[in-house]
Amino acid sequence: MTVDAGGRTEFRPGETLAGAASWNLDTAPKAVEVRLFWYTEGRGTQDVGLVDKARFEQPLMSERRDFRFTLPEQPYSLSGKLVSVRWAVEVVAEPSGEAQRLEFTLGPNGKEILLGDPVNP
Amino acid sequence: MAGFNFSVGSGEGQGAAGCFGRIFQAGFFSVFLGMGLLFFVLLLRSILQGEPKTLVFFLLLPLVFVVVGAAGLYSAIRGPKPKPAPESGLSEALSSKATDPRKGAWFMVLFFAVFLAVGLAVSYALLFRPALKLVKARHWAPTACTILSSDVGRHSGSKGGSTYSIDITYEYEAPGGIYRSGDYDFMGASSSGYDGKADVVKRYPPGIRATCYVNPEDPREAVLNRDFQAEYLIGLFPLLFVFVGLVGMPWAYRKARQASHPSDLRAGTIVAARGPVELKVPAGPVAKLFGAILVAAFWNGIVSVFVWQMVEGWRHGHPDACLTLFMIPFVAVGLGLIGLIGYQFLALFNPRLHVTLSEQAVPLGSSADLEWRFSGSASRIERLTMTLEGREEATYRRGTSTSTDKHVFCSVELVALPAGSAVASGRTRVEVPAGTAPTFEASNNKILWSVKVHADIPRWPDVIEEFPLRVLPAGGAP
Repeated sequence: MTVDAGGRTEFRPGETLAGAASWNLDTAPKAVEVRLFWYTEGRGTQDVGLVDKARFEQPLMSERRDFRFTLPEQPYSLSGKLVSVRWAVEVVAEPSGEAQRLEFTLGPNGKEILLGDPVNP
Repeated sequence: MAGFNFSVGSGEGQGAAGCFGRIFQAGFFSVFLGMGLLFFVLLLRSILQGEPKTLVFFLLLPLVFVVVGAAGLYSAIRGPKPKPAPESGLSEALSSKATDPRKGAWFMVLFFAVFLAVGLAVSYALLFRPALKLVKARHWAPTACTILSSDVGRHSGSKGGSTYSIDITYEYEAPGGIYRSGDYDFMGASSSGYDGKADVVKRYPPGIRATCYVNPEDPREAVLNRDFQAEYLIGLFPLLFVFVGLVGMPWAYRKARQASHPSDLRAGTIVAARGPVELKVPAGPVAKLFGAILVAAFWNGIVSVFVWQMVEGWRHGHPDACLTLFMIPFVAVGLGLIGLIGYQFLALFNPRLHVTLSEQAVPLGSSADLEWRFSGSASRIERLTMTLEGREEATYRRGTSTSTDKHVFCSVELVALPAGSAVASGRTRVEVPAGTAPTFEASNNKILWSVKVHADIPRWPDVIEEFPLRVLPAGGAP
């Protein structure tokens, strides 16, 4: 099971993330979903936000499907002292729950924002 | 066999800390459950032993404890919800943890609805029903009766103290035959304070003729005293529950409506209405005063029950030194809360600050005009500072408590003025630094922006306010 986004891992808001998910499973899944989502890391309890998904019903055991998402304006990928926000595309087989994930960054320049200590320009 | 390029950990290690957390949680909810069951049994026993039937409504209160305790205990014993197990060596779908934030908000609506329902039920039993009876009893027929027995009932409390009740049985003749009643008034429940009840009992010794008041619609119902008494005021207490429910339900409903659905984050430009907006503080001075009164009343209301027992013990020559020592920190907190009421009351007379921003939201790297104006006596202000602040907030659970850590990542001084006419009103430019993060609000993790104001008033509570500000991604409208 693999997922790729054309070799890119840095995106700007509003850009299109296009890629392909492929799988080679022991049994035919009921469905395969490609999910676009963000999640948090850090001190706080984890939050996960599903933004979009592409669902393929009754796929074959071995298959490759293209997907395409238009990325939202926010939240930006960021790393702070307490909160970090990450973006990922995940391909999930149902009902087994087998999954594969591709992480990428979403930011004004495609890079994640680094939040440090107070700045006072 | 499926192939994988990389694996993903669950990120939820169940080490010793997690184990201790569950043990602590189990202990905490066991106490909750135990207390609920104990109070339920004691209350049920009192009702079965002839306490007023209105106490049946109080059974709801310990039942709430029982339900919460049982649910928490079940959750602690069961542990984290088992996830669908992927085949060996395969990663687990992180995206499956995505939740709809509206569900949590609707749960809060339900929570406050329970508060309201319990408050209304207890209010009916303790306030509305006795009040209705008091009014109706003005038209009940005065009837001669004979006192059969008269005594002060003593009831052992769960904490070793005692409560007392007026136990008078009398006989009277009414249409349909001869009846007996044990109701002195419409309150009936036992309470602390022996002397007052002993005085009543003295006035109705067995064998004397007295006057009772009989319900013409139901001659089985009669009381010896149909006048209003201070004890009826205890019926105002459950109105606190009603108030919390009435305020909390619309608030939670608004939250449920506002909570962003995952689909709200689908691609598209972020649209913020253009034009000036008056920034609002989350709670104004009246709300803060009201909040302080509520918290102080709730805390001191509970503490006062134990303080009363403690004082009675000292008065009657058998002081409880343990209880006295135990109560000291609780009384100190209660006094502090009363002091907070005084502080918030004085703050009512502070000059009020009105802040207007030229845009509804400010994109990263952009700026907006901020105007401020004090109404009231701004001349009392010795120094005014305004700061644009960006901070991270992370909320997490440790054991059974929830904590929120904060870290300021951006602090820009907007205004720093000494006393003078320029303080009363003015204008400044708010520029949100590029390279930082826009506003982000998830359930437990947040990036928040605000304008913080501190107006120093000598020998008086300062004006300390925080005006939330919405920051958009760079290039977002407007």
